[in-house]
Amino acid sequence: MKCTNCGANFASDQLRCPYCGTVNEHALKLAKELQTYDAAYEKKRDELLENGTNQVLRHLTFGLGIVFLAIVLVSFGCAAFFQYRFSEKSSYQVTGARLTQNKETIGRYLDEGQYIRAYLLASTTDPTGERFQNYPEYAAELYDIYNYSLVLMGVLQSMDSMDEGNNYASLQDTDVISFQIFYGSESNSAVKEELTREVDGFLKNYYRLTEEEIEALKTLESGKQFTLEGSADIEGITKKRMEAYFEE
Amino acid sequence: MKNKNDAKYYMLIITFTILFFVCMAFCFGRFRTLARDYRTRSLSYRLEAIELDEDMFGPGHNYFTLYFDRDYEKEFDGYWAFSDAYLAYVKGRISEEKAPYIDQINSYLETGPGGAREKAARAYVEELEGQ
Repeated sequence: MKCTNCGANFASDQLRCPYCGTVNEHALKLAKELQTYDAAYEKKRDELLENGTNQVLRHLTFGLGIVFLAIVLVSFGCAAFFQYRFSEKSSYQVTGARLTQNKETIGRYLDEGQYIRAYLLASTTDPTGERFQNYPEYAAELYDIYNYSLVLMGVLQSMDSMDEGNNYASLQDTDVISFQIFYGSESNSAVKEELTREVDGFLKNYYRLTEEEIEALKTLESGKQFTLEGSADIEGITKKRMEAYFEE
Repeated sequence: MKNKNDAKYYMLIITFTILFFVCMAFCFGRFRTLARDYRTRSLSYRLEAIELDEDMFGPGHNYFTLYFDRDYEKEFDGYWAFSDAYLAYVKGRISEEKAPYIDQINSYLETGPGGAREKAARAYVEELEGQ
């Protein structure tokens, strides 16, 4: 390229003439264009980068969300399935052959006198618990056995404390209620008769109540306080009687 | 502008992660409870438990275990048979008429239960006869 001032030759990309120092307008214009292009390129590059990053993050967020959601749904699904499969409730869903078999087993237990066992089988395979909806033919007997089992547990636990040499666990108000509930049921089954003899035996032989007092307990109107020797202190009176009898 | 956009996604990722771990913790808790329930309701576990009870508290304790754990299956026949003898002993102890209860325990002894149960049943008969 020739200098416009001194006419010397120099390279066209030089900004000034190396001999006279005159500005090379053509090179200057190119340099400015290049600068603008650089700036535009950087801007474009940043935009592309930002868009790329956003796109990656968007995909990552979406992907993670889907994966987490899938895992959570599968876990909840499994939890619900196992809950249903292994829950106690599922054992209540007794139908068909199993129900028939249970009925036969309960009948056999009742015939053999294994009353508590019959009650436990019925109550654990019945959605209504002590109402025995699955076993209507035995419901009355089973309900009596349930009431009897509460009386029996009270007596056994009381005897346990006696064996350990503690105070005589005498007849308490809560025990009286369980006796009243037992006597209060309206069924007239053979099982009830047999259990009544046993419950009478507990009251007579263990808590040392007389025949008249047992009769009074059987016929007591609901809401009325049971009394012994004209006193409401059942615990104290039975305790004295039990001490007098068992220490002989 | 660039940072603001990124922050949105980072917040979402962190939220997802926290939610994920919360849900996982919940599911883990449920699975653990279910696994324990399943284990404690299994027949083998209940048989182990009643054997342990019998060793620790004596066969006289069987009735309570059977009642509270509601073990009525045929695998517990032996324990129930002893429990009936135990109840006969309990009733005989407080009754003036001992003979029918002694007979009941003797008929249990005729089945030859063996071990701690037979020993305990013999002791019951002796105690009732001594009263």
